[in-house]
Amino acid sequence: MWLLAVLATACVWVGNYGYYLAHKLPDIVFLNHYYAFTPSPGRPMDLYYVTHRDSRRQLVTVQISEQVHWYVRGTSTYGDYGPYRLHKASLELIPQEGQLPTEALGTFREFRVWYSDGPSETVPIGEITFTPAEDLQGLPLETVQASSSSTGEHHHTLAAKQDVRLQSVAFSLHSRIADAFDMSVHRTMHEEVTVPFELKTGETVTIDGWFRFEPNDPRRMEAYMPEMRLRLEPAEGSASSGIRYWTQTFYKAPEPDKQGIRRLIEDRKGAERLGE
Amino acid sequence: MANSFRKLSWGLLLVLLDIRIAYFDVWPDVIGYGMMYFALQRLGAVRPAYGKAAGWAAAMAVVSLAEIWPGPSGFHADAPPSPGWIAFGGMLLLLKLLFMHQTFAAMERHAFDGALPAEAHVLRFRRRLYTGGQWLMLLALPFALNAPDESRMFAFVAVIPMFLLELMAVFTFRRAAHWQGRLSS
Repeated sequence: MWLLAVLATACVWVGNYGYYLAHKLPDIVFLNHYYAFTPSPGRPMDLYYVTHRDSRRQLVTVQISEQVHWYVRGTSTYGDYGPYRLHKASLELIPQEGQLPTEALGTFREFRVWYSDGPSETVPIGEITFTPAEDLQGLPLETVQASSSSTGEHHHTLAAKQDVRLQSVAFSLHSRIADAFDMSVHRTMHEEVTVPFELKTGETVTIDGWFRFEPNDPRRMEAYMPEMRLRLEPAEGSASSGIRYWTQTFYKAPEPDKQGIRRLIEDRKGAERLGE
Repeated sequence: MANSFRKLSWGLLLVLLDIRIAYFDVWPDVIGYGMMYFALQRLGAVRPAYGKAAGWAAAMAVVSLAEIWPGPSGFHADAPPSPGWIAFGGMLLLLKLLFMHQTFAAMERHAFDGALPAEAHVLRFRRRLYTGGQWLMLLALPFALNAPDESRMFAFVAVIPMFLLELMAVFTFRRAAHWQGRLSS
């Protein structure tokens, strides 16, 4: 009886410690982020990374070039998935007043990151493209209502400040999400009137965007932020001239699950082994 | 002898009290275990089996010194306990199981030899109950290493019956203080 009890206790302890060691994650693993957008002052950019649950290591800085460092303004726990913890770090790219340095414009597949306990490393982060800011002065549209959710449903209503023609619409990351991202730009209350069409001063246009990843779609593990570019032309007979663009981002936070996190970690470990 | 059993019950009661200010244990367990050690040492002069239990009490007193100031890391609400803390907790549970088993077994034998068979019978039942509960805790503890955070509520619930078992032990020691005069030897 005693022997059985001792044996059962030993098995439980060894089994738990073995499971703990087998799933120990000494490194930080970043999720894939697919962002293509124009950073604006004061607006944060979120990065997601996985650690082991008992890890105290946190992301503190992202370095783009010798001169450009972005500091993490806040980190929160996004969720626990078995032995792993997903964190969300918010970076402030541009302070309240200022603009993005030219070195930061372009596409990045890796970031050099610094951790709270000192070390730094270059990590794959997906693909993030920063585009230069448009001149927002004198745009013929203004936002009157906006709502969005992290699950990727967005609704915007814009009003025309002057007569304008909405000529065409396009969005970035098309090759990655065209099959799972729907967008509609139409005259408010008239869904059948889509681009191209003209808006008279005071009339409104509704922009809807929503992601619809299937439940087993691996892209659910990733964060997306495409940007819509709406081409605006002077309305017929309008005194104004010149082509302008209205840009709008659509954000989709990751919706991971335990298996997805495990697969991501295994894939990264495999990639590291191949790289060695 | 009666005083020693009373001291034993007070010692265990003091171990149960855990008052901390800024992580610091203002009423460290080492005091309780120290009282139990001296009580068992005195009882050991009457019956050597208590002396063996005193050895376990001394070991508990030494190990419990580490609990006086575990530091903020020992109470990090956002992180699960580290393997080191789990191993330490397991060692404490095991030592306590052996200590209480030895103490109860010595009392059981004492009562039986002193012609108090009813007391000996109750003591055997309580020894099995206590060590069984302590063993279940020992069995459950390593799961804290991998269990999700939500399961911590169940761990909190499990502490309640264990606390009741500790109280049972306290009252058992107090009851033994009334043996004097009833024991045949």
